[in-house]
Amino acid sequence: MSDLATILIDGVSIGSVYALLALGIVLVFMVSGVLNFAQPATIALGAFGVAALHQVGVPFGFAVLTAAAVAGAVNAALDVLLVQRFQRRGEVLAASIMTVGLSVVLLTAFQARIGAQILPVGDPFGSSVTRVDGITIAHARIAAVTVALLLLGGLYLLIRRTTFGLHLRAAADDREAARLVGVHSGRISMVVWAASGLLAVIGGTLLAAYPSAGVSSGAADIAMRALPAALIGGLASTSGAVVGGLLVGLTEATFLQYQSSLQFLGTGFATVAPYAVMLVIIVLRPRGLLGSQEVHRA
Amino acid sequence: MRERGRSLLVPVLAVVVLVVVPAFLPRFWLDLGALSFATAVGAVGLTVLFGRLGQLSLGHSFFVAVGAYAYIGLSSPAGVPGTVGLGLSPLLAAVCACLVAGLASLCFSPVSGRVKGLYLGIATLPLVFLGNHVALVWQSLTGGFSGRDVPALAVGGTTLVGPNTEFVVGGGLTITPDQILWYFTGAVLTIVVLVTTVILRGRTGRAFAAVRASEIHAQALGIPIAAMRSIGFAYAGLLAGLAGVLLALVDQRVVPDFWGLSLSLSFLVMIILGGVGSLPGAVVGAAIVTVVPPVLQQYGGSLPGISDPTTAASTAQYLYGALVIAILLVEPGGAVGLWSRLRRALARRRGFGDAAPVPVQSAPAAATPREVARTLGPTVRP
Repeated sequence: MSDLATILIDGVSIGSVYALLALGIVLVFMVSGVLNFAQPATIALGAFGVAALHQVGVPFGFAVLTAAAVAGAVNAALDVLLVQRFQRRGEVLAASIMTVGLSVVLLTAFQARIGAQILPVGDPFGSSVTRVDGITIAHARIAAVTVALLLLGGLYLLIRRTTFGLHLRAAADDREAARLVGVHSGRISMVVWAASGLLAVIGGTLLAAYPSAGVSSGAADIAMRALPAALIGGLASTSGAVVGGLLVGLTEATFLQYQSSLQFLGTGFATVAPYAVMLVIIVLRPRGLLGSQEVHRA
Repeated sequence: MRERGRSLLVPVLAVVVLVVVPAFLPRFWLDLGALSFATAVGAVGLTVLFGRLGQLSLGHSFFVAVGAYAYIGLSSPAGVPGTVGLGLSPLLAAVCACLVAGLASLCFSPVSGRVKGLYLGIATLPLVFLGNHVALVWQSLTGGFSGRDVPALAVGGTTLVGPNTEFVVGGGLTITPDQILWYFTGAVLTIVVLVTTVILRGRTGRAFAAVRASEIHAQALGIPIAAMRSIGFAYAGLLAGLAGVLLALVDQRVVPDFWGLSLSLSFLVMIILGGVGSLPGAVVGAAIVTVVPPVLQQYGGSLPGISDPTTAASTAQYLYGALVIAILLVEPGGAVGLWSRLRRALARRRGFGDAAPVPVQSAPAAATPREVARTLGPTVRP
C-alpha cells in the first residue's frame, strides 16, 4: 500500500512537471505546426540559467523570473525572425528541422557551460520533507505539483475562456481561415512561442529541485523526456500533453520503486522506462493516446 | 545525377582522390578519410530515408550500434569466459552484422510503416535511449562503459584491415594499414553509392518519391505505402549497420557513449549540410562533419579558444548548428545546391546562358535537392 502511495505521489508530482514541458511542445505544434526539437535544450539551458543566477547571489524568485523572461523573449524572437519566415514560404517541415540545428547549438552551449558541475537551483524548499504514514514527501515536489497545477489551470482558462484563447484555437484549427476572420495569427504564434520558453524555464527548474541534486550535464537527457510525453498523448492535444506527462512520471516512479526486484533489466532502467512505454503506445496507437485526425494537419 | 550530358569531371576527380591521393597523405588525414567514408555510408542511408522517402529517423545511431556490436559479437573468439563471441570468420561476421541491423530495422516496421515524417523522428527516439541502456548493461557483448576491442577483418588467416598489416606491392612500394583502411572504406562507400543510385533510379526509388510527394497519389497508383516506408527504413538501417561495422574497424575499440543521440543528430546535420536527398551531398556532409573538429583541434591552435579537444568539438558544433539554420533559410539544397548554383552562374558568365539546361521538374524521382528540401515529407502547404 505504501509502495503504491509513493509511486502515485512521486509519479504525479514529477509527471505534472513533464506535462508542463510537453505542453510547451504541444502548444507550439498546434499553433505553428512546428515540432520544436529544441525544447529539451531550452529546458536544460533555462534551468542552468536559474542555477547560474543563484551562484552569483540572485534571489530564487527573481532568478526564475529573469531566466523565464529571457527564454520567452528569445523564443518569441525565434518565431518572428525564423519560424514565421519559413511559414510564409510554406516550409513548415524545414522549420522543424531548423529547430534540430538550434537544438545542436543550445545543447552544445549547455554542455560547454555545465561541464562536470552539479549546480543547485537554490529553491527555498531545500531538502525538507514531510513524513506521512511512512511515506516521504519532499516539499519541493509539493511545490512542483502546485506550480504545475496552477499553470495548467491558468492555461486551460486562457485557452478556453478568453478571447485570446479563442483566437489561439482558431489559429490552431486553420491558420488561413483564422486570418481571414481577423485573427492576428502571427502575434498568437509569437505569444505561444514565448509561453513555451517560459514553461521550459519553470519546468526545468522544478525538475532540478530536490530530490534531484541540481542541474548537471544529465539534465539535457531528462529534459528530452518532454518529447515522449508530448507524443504519448498526441502531439496536437493539450489534454494529451497532460496525460502523456503523467504517464511518463508514473512509469518512472514505478520502475524506481521496484528497481531492486527488476535488476534483470539492468541498473538505471527507470531512466529509460518511459521510452519503453512510449514504444508500446506508438505500436498500439501511432498517433498517441488522445491524438485523432488533428495530427493530420501537419 | 540526372543530367546525362554532365561533364565527367566530378566522378573522375572522385576516383583520382580515392586511388592516388592516399600515397601522399600523412596518417592523420588517412584516418580522417577512412572515418569520413565509413560515416558517409550511414549518411547515404539517412538521406535516402529522409530526403527521398520523407521519413525522419533520429534512431539512426541505434542501428549503427547494432551493426558494430553484431560484428564484434559474431567475430570475437568463442569460448572466452564473460564475453559474447561466436568466432565466425570476420568477413562473414561483417556481412551478417549488416543483415542483423537490417533485420532489426525491419522489425521496427509496425512503427516505421505507419508513423510518418517528423513523428517517426520522435518515435525512433526510444531506440537511441533504450539501445544506450542495453549497451551499458550487456557487458559481455559491449564491454560496458569502457568498451570492447574490435577484431580485425581477416580472410583465411591474413589480416586485411586492422593494425599491423602491411602489404609489399613490389618495387619498394608498401601499403600501410592506414592506406588499406582508406581503400577498403572508400571501396565500400563507392559500392554503396552505386547500388543506392541504381535503387533510387528504379521502381523502388520512384515509389519512394511518390510516397513522399503525396500519400493519396501514391495509393492511387497502387503503391503499398506502409511497405515502402518499412523497406526504406530497413534499407537505411542496413546501411547504418554497415557504417557501424566500418566505424568499429576504423576505431578498433568502441564505447557505448559513442552511439548516443548526438550521433543521430550529427547524421541529420550531415545530410542537411550536403543537401537533403542527394547522395554526393551525404558524402560531402559526412566529410565536413567528420573532418572539421579534428582539423580545428590540430591546426586551430592559433585561433582563440580552440586548443583542446573539447572546445574544438564545441566550436564545430556551434558551427554546424548555425550552418543548418542558415542553409535551410538560404539554400535548402545544401552544399550540392550551392555547387549547382555556382556552376549555373559560371556558365552564365561565360555567355552560355541560353545553352544552360532548363531544369525539368516532371520526373519526381529526380527532383533537385532544393526541391526535395522544400517539399520534404507529408507537408500540407497552406
